[in-house]
Amino acid sequence: MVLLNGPYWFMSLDSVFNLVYVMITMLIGGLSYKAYKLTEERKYKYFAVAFELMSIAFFVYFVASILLTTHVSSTFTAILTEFDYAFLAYGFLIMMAYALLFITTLKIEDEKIRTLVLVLMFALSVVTYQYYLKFHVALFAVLFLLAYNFYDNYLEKKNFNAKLVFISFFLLACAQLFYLAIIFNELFYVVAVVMQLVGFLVLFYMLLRVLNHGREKREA
Amino acid sequence: MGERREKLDIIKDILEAIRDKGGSIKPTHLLYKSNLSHDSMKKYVSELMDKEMLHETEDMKTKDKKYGITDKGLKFLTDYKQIKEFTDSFGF
Repeated sequence: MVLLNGPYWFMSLDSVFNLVYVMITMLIGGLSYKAYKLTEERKYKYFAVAFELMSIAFFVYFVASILLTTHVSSTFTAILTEFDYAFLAYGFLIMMAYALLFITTLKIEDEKIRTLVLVLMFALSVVTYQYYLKFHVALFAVLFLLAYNFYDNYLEKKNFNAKLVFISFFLLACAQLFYLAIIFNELFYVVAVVMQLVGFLVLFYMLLRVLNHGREKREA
Repeated sequence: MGERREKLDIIKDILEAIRDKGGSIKPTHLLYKSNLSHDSMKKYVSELMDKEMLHETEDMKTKDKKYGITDKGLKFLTDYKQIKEFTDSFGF
């Protein structure tokens, strides 16, 4: 089973953190959807869908890990442990979300290249299904490329929020390396989860800055 | 050479031009202020009217056609900064 990892005492905390990710990604998706409603530009729609997919993925992870750790139903536990359906859904949703982030942030306009990115990410989610290490290697590669892209954006824009986005994705990418290091010591899993949590909190801080700035402007 | 304006910026420029003129503007002035071709301006104005951010009015004295900004248009201007900052942060 791929879904539950790390020390037993940490499992319920890990589950709760997923709810934090659900909230943050949902808010970012919501703001992008607001931009889509105002402009009807597809890039905002893709970006909103990317974050909403992430939100659903983390919710699936949360529900499945709660069901597995609390043993609410032996039927659910049997289904989830036998085929790792939850991990398959989580992996697929997260890969599709990052594919859409790629497409929007790299401003890929060509339909064929867009399709290629989506197909490749779909293939990655299939190939890494039930393979914990392969999954995190794939996620590291994807997140590292996204972080590199956000670093380029920071160099171009030179604004603090762009820096926060870069830091956030850099932390998310580094967290994947600690997920891999679990083969040496399972405490590395805790480090990975904490790093991932900090990554998302940095993203949340960026979002609060954006929202507060808007409010200040309205009050001025 | 200046950067190509995004759709978000063009909409903001159009609405800002109307607001700064006291809430309504003549089409010729808007063409000049928005820095768009005639066809592009017509396209944007029609879209903004569909979204109820603009409305067409008539000058009481001269009977000239004018474009006026609606409450929805004014709300867009307050939301613009927030969305611009958001998109700049991610660079898309």
